[in-house]
Order: sequence, then C-alpha cells, then structure tokens
Amino acid sequence: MDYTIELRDLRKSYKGKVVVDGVNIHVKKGEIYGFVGPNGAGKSTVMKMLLNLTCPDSGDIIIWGQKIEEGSFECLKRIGSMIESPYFYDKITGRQNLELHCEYMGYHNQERIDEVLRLVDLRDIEGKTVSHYSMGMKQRLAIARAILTRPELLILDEPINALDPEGIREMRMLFKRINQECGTTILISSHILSEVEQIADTIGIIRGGRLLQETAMSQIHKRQTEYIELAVEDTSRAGCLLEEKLGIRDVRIVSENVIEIYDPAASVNEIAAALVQEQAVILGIGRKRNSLEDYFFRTLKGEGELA
Amino acid sequence: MSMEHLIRLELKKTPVRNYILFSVLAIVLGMFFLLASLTDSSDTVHDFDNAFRSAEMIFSFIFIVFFAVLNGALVISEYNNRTILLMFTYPVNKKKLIAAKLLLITLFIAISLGIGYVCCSLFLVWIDRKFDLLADTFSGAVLEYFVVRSLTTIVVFSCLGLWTFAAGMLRKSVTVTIISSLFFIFLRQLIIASCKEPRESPVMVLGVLMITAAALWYAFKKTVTELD
Repeated sequence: MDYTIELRDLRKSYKGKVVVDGVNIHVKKGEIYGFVGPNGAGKSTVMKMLLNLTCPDSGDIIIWGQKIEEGSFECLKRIGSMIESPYFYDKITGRQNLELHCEYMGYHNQERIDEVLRLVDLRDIEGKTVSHYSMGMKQRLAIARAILTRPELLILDEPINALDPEGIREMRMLFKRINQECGTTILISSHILSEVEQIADTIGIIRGGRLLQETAMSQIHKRQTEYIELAVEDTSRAGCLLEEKLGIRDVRIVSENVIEIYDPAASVNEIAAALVQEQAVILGIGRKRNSLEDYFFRTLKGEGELA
Repeated sequence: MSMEHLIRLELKKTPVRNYILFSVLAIVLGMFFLLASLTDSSDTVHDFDNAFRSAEMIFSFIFIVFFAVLNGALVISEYNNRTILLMFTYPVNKKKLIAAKLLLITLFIAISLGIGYVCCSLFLVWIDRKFDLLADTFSGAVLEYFVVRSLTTIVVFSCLGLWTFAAGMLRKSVTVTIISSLFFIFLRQLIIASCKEPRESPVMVLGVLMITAAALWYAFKKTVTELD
C-alpha cells in the first residue's frame, strides 16, 4: 500500500503521563484523513510528532517511506501545516508574514501569495498588521500559509475552529479542491464532525492517546443504518403496541420519550396510523440516518459498530 | 540555508530601527552620565583610566540589560507567543535558527558597545582638550589601553549576555532573562572589585569564554528544542 504517513506503535509521555499510547496510523497517498477525538485525546501531540516538533518516546514515524529521526527536517519542505492555533508575527502585515514563510521554505513565487490570499478571501486586508486581524482572519491567513508552497502533504490541526459557517463551507471546498486538483494528502483534525464527515476519505478516532478506530468513510457509510425516530409520551406502551400491532421488535428506547426503530420493513405511515388508532400520543416521527457523530460516540463508548 | 540568510530573515521581522534608536540614546545617555561623574564636586582626581572605567561601567550595565531585553524579544518571546511552532516547521536545523538569532543579538550589542566606547573615548579626549578636566594627557599608551580594555569588555559582556540567554531559556522567561542580567553584572563587579587590577585578566577572559561555551552547549542541548 502506498502510504504517505505511517505511524507504528507511537508512544509519548509528558511528566509520567501517557498522552500517546501505541498509535498506528496509515494515511494513504492522496486521501483526506480525518483525525477526531475529544479534547486532550492526543491529536495535536501526534501531529506535532509528525512535524518533528516533539519526539516520540518510542515507535516509528514514516513519511513518504522515510523514517523521521530527531534531526530530520528535509521532508518539511514538502509539508504545509497549521498546529494548535494560527500563530503569526503580529507586528508585520499578513503579506509580509507570507513572504517570510516563502523565504524560510525556500519557495520563491510572489504571484502565488496573491493567489492564496484570493483563495482565502483576504485580498483586501493583506496590508494590515496581523495584530488587527480577527481570529477568523488569522485562521484564513494560517490556511493560506499552509497551502502557499503547494505542499504534497497538509497537516491541519483544527483549521476551521474560529470560522463562521460560510468560512467553514469555503474552507471545506478549498481543501477538497486542493486534494482533488493537486493530489495533496491532507491530515485534518477537527471537533466539527459533520465537516470531517463531508471531506474525509478515512477517519481515525483517538481517545486517551489510543487510536480506537481507523476506518474508511465508505465503510462507515455502508454500516450507517436508516432508522425511524419516534417521539411519544409513553415509550413503554408505544413499544408494546409496535410489537403487538406491527410485529416490530428491533427497537431501542433511547430516552424517556424517544424510540429508535431499526426494522427495515417498518413504515412511518403504518407506525403513525397504528399508534393513532390506539390513541397513543405521538410527539414526532421521522426517518433518520446515523451520522459520523453517532459512529464517533458509539466508538468512544466502546461499541465500535453501528446498531 | 546559510547563517547570513537566516540573520537577514530575522531582521525582516525585527523592529531594527527602534533598537538602533535605543542604542544611540543609550550612548548619549552614557556620555551624559560620564560628564556628570567627571564634574562632580567630590575630591576624586579624574584621569583617563578612571574616566574610562566609569564609562565602561555605565555602558556595560546599559548594554547587558539591553542584551537581555533583546534575548526576550527575539528568542524567548518566540516560545511564549508559540511562533516557535511555526519556525520549527521550516526545513532548517532548529538549533541553527536560534543560533542565528543569538548571533544577531550578540553582533548588535558588540557593535553598539564598540561604538559607545569609541564615542566615549573621543568625548573624553575632546573634553580634556577643551576644559582640561583630566589629570593626565591623552597619549598613544592611553589609546592602546582604551583599545585593549574596550575589546576585553566587549568580549566579556557579550559572553555575559549569552549567559542571560541560557538562564532565560531554562524557564523560557523574559523576566528571568532580565533579572539574570542584573545578577551577572553584579557578580562581575564583585569579582573585579576583589582583583588587584580592576579588570579581567586573560585567564579570567578564558574562564568566561569556557563558562559561556558550557552554558550554550547546555541551552542548545536541553532547552532550545524543548517546546512544552
């Protein structure tokens, strides 16, 4: 398999506390890999290790087939990144920050600066010092900087955190475009699962420093079941009626008023008609589909697979 | 990437003009203090030797603190503002990136100190010719003494400045850097005061150089690449 990134049994502790515990990750060439997990799960630490900002206690980091050692920095030429937060030299302008970045990266193409500023919609304020930028603008500028040198690999740690919904949409489209047009491999971490769901080809779920799942989104989509969500006043009675009247047994009572019905033959109309006929109070009914969010929480709970 | 290129890039993100202005002001202020010390009403007899010693004390105090301030602004603040996370993702040796900053600061301070001493010496010669304030007269021997003394002080204080870097990096703290500069200058004065000749002997200069090498080795080995 042609992997861009391969992590083998990666471990890292800080002051005796294990933050990354035997992580194995496989990022295929040209894919978008969504790295998700709760706060403090170890996502940023893994990303920092990839960028050689911190060294693992043990395990191997292999990027483009090359093992990354403590002093390795040559491969950084081919990587664009954004780690933790958008950090800049805020006494100089956005454009000057990008020019500096180009110089350090050994990339000399002034037109590209205009191009990326246009891509992230910062063309009008490029001359302002960064100290006058809002958090959202800094986030956009950081994305511009990450993609500036046309990297083959993008490592983005929570890149859409401070963006408004429109900004999130624009950046999602931008990442997809970069991935599709340039074949850039993207490793992206985010708390916004619905966004990861829309762009990722593979997701890795990490908690407490351990990688719980690494699954292709297509697999998750296959496992995603449609179900009917029924909100009623009395779930016990509704459950009995569903079994007696319609023979539906594959149900799950998820809260005081909500039942999930997984029987593929069940129809919303039939259920509603049967319950109305028995004068059961229906608060709401409709078809639903398990999302990445459901998969994520089930994985965190240890269920791993969808119902 | 060459050291020269790295220093040029550092200059792009540094408000050099402000620092040059500060240096000029510091030199002018130093000369003002020197004049004040020469014209005080005490019975001290001033000659070129003790006049130069006064100048040396004033300038070294100002510039070692300035060295520490620059360490804070150019190096430690990169860690505190987390821009170091960006710097260290560049395809450049991390230690070389920090070494370029240190070299820039050391050169800047050494040049400023050098200019300060030249200005001060010229000022002393001029003021002596004009007002005959000093007991002895300016000669080739005095000039030689000035040159040797200036060079020794520049080397020693550049080293002490580097010690403030090593101290500040232990906790990545600007405060520690500045406080350590005051401590080191106090220590230096204490040692010098206990010597027969109130200046560093070649052996002492060698000792300072060796301690500097050890401090830098430790700082680069243990603290420069440590981010958390």
